[in-house]
Amino acid sequence: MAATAKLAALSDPTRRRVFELVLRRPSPVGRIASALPVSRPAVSQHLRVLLDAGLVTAERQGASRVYRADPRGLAELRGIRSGDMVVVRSRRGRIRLAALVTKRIRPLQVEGNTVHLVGLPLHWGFDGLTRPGHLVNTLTPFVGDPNVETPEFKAFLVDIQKA
Amino acid sequence: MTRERIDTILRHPVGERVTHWAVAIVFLFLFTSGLALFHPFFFWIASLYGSGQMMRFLHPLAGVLLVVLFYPYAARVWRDNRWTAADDGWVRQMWAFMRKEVHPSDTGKYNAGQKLMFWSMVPLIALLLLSGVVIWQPWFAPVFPAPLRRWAALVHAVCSFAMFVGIGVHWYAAYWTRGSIRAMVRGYVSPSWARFHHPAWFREISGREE
Amino acid sequence: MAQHALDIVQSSATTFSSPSARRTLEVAKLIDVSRCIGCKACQAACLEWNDLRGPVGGFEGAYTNPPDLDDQNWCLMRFHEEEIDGALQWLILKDGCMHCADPGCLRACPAPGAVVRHSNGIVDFDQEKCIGCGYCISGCPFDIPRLRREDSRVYKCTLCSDRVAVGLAPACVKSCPTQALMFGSRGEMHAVAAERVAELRGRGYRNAAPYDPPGVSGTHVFYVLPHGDRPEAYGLPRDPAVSPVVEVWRSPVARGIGVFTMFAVLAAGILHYMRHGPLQAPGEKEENEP
Repeated sequence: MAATAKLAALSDPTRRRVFELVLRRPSPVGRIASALPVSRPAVSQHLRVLLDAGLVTAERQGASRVYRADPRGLAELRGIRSGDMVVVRSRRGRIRLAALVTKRIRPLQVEGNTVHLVGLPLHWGFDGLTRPGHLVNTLTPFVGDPNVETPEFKAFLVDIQKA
Repeated sequence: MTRERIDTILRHPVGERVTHWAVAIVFLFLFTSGLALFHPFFFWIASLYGSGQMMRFLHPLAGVLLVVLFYPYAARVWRDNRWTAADDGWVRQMWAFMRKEVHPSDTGKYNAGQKLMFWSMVPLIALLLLSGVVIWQPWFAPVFPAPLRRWAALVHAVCSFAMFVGIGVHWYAAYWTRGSIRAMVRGYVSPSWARFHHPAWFREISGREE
Repeated sequence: MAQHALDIVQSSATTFSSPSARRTLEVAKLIDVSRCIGCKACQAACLEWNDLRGPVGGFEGAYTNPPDLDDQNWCLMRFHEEEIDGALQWLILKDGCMHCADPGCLRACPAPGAVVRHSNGIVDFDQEKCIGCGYCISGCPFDIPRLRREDSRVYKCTLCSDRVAVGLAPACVKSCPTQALMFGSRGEMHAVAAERVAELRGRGYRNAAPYDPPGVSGTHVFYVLPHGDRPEAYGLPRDPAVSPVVEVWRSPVARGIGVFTMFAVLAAGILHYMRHGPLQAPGEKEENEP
């Protein structure tokens, strides 16, 4: 979904509040409406816009529909399971390694976009007692803070695909 | 008169005899080694076979050997072990027969007792093999879940017990019926032996020879 | 070792009980899961103390590493991500021998003395007597013993019986940085467990409970579980006991009757022969046989 469509969907403050409620807890229309000073039909209308923008999904449960922010993590979206070999790619290079899929790291919602997190522990390299592997520093940016003379290796953009 | 002159009827060809005694020897090893594992009273038997470890290692291999020896033999003789009306009669009179009060005159090559023995060994040995594979460490047992392994161990013990009861009866019956053991060692029986113990078989054989 | 024999209360495949003139204090290890941070110091300490070195494995996509107990890994942290009451919980459990008071491994073992239970509660394997049949693995309700391919013997946590014998705590307990692992007399550890459960309940863990299964007559390694109403979430069996199939399979009474029956069949044959003599075809000469 285009970022502009999502941003447009969240331009309305009431709709933004509807989205925040759904983010916190998957809910049917009734529960959302009772938490806001707006009518049920109005909430339904907002939810339809959010649905079209791809910000929420709807699931039939009994007689009602439950709305939730897209719960699927990156692993599910990319068909990656624990133990699968994956390739992680940044602007500076790519490495091949095994994946661990966990529910403990949840996707972030940043300005209407889902931002997934990939954690890379620096536990191995090309030389060592255990099996050698690709060095994670292949991916990290060469950015430093000159004031404290500390390199910024920590956060950067990556793509991750099943190998 | 030497026995060779008297025993003129071939009852068991040499291939069957060799197989039978090979099976018997392998069974003796399986039974005694199994007994050592079955009850601590017999654990000393393990030292006869080198060590507990060696015995535990050889027991399943001997089991496979037993299966390889037994089933081709069973395939050869199963036709003579098919149940007939004569066998119903034999079973009905079984106790009187054992007291030597009656003697059936329509017994075929194998009597009902022998057929019952055959038809119990066929499934028992198969069950022992299957249950044995499930508990065979370290090659096969790890792939099977614990509850299945527990049942397999129980089945294995129960079938071994049943098999020994059958074999015990088999041993005694062979000894009691004079001439049987010689028949399985030398292969030949006399016409009077055949006429008395397996009359229908004798009639069939003589009819063919005429 | 004369002292060693005096200490044994129960021995595998042994009909008559051991001398056990010496009665020592029953010990126990308490694992308070609420304090465990999953650092694996206990795993490392166990390897160090017992000189275990398994082959370097691969990453299988899980924190639980190695993936299972084996003959070179007697202590394993298991990690479970579970949804409890709508919230995600990361449950970490130290897995290893529970040192049951009624051990299934001991019951199943056919080799005399290969599995022993000491008067202090420790269940120990004597590898010298082990024949490698793996019956103990089937007998254990917690699936703990592991067979070593190289020597065909089984291994498991010994509760550091060698350390305990000289008054030290097990290596894992010594290494634990948060005191999630505690060691002492069984009575003391039960008291501490009760205190911990009360504190956890006060803090909002309404279902905190000890895990000391009665089905195996209690254990000498027991847990305090914050979510004590669902041990399965931690990978623990809900109501473990020695399986009834194992009880029948290794029942001394059933097996005794079995052996008796087998002898009885032979005896019946002998008696029958003494009464009726052989079945002989008429005209067949009696040879020199009894």
